[in-house]
Amino acid sequence: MTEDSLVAVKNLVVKFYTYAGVVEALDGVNLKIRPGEILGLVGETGCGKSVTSFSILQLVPPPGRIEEGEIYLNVGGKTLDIRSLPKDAIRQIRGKDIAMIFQEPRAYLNPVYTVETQIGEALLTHRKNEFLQKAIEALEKAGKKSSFEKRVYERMLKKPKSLVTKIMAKFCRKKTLMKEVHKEVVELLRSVEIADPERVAKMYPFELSGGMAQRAVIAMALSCQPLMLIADEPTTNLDVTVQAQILNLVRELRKTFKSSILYITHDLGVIAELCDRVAVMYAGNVVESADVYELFEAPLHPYTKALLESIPKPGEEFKSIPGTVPSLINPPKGCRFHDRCQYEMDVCRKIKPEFIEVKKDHFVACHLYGGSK
Amino acid sequence: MSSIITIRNLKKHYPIFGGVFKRRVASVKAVDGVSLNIFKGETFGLVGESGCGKTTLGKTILRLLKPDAGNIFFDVPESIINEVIELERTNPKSKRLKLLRSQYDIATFSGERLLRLRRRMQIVYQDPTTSLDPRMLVKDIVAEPLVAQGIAKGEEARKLVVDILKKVGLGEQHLYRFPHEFSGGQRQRIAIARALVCRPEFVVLDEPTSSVDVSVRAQLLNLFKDLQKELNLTYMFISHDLSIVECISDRVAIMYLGKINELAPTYKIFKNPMHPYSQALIASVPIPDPKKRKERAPLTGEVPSPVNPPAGCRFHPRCPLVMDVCRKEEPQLFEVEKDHYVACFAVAKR
Repeated sequence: MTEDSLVAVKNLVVKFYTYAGVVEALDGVNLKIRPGEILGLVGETGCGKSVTSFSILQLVPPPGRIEEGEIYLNVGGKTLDIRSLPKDAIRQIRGKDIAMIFQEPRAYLNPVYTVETQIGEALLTHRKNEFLQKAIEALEKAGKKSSFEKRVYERMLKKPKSLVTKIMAKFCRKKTLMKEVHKEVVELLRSVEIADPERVAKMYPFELSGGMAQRAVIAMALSCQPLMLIADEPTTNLDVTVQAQILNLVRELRKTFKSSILYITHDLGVIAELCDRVAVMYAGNVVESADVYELFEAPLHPYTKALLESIPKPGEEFKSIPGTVPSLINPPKGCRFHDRCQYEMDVCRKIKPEFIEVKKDHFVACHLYGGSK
Repeated sequence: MSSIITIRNLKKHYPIFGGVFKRRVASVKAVDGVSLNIFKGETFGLVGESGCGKTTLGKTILRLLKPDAGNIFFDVPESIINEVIELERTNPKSKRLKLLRSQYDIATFSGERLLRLRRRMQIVYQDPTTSLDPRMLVKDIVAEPLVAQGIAKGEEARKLVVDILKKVGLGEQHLYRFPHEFSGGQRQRIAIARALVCRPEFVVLDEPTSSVDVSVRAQLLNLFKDLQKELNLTYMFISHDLSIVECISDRVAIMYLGKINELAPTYKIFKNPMHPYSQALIASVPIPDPKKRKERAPLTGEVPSPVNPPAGCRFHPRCPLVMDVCRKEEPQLFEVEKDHYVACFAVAKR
């Protein structure tokens, strides 16, 4: 399962220890993302979509804890076990190999820094040496071969950890370096189709509209050309016309950067428009995953079927799923969907169905399809 | 079909105060000259992007906000409406007009008369978590309109409350609970019960399903349809979700920056949108079928500020069919086909 995938999540269990009780947010999630594909993750509110993505980046907020499971990342021929990596190594992965876009862009941008500063920070964290090199070259071109600035940059390249370098860096205004970063930021903003990037780069987040702020966040996420991009409901708060613009942008970016994208949403329309494969989540479990055409044409799990039927169609009665999403503090035993399922059997109440491959690349967790084996 | 609501040239501008003396320096033109009819017993859909003035229009019709200009008629015979319009055009200072307006035009109402009117028109808000008082019991929340209107009190009110709760799918066991004990869908049901308890004829539904999940959304929409049949209601359904509006409305109006661009029966507008903005809006709705996936050019640019809307047609800076006249003159709604109104010079030329 791990060989052909970029990220593989196996049997992930996450629990939140709250005062009200233990919330079993994820109950054995299996997921894999192949290089270059867009995987859609759908589900209703509180089904664990976001927790899954946070787990991949080891960002599960307390009182949540990853209890069990493995997360693998394949980078450059090596397989990294993310859960056993030290903190420093994970920081290297975050933002560089795996970047993330959130639902509310303005909440994730710092209100007191300009767009340029914030995107520049990501660039200087992960691609500092590259920019130092560029700055040195620029200074050489300008004929300032032995200037203080150039000496500082050279030291920062060779001995970044020495105390003298740090002191020297403090006394240097690093104008050339910032100029290089600025150029790259403007380039990035242009690549996410922001009109007048020079002006936008100098703006503060409150000056941007929702769509622009989301573009700025996408530019930040793309600044290090990540192998994988996690997009957590990036268009939920936007209008349909802006959403269409952002979706087009995501499609374009996949072509140019060749990143994999994990696209989290509750909108089946967006999934159908954008994704290659889909994973459907319900109450902390991935219940079905398949190719997008296959899933929309021949869904297997009763929940997926009900979800697809609940899409309003003109001239028809609205179909709903009876009952409500169960509380995850005391989730139903066995299959978590059994009390809303019309095909409920005895075994569903007792044994949790396994996530098995029914057809090629079509996984389902349901007793109807032999999930009890 | 007789109309229950008729509005003519309605305007609502929010002032922006500034300067040393906090004088009015500019205004946000949230609703800027809207005219429409809503027929008895229909569901009138109102769609548009955020900030286009949908909610302001809904609230102004209910007179929760005072309009700056225009007429609102609620259940008034057509002959009187026509007379008022005629007089406003020919003799705006006549006494007869003043009398008629003070008698029939809701825009001029206040105090007692407005209170009596409220019995007949109600609203359901977007987010039930904020529209329900967290410190009141369900029985008090739902009975409040009855008490305020002086319709019923005590045991009598309780009967009416239980009755309406049953209609929206709740029951007597829910009377002594607080809003926080309910799920989102149930809370919205309480808000619906509160709106319907004094048996209004006209209800504004302001994005009533945008804060609930897909599976609950269908339940609520079915409830709206059932209640409409049972209680003979007229709805104004405000939403930015076109797929829902397509399913629930009889007629749809598309709003852009405080103006209505297109108004038509639902099947016409979704099958054959005429205004370039409507076309772009309808094309940008994602279709939940991967086979119908298509590459399309989305609308470019952003919605301009309603403080300084573009001169002429408000859509002209983003319009693919822009002509010279669009930059200078403002297009008016005109009837292209039967019941299909569009405000666009390019369509008019065709």
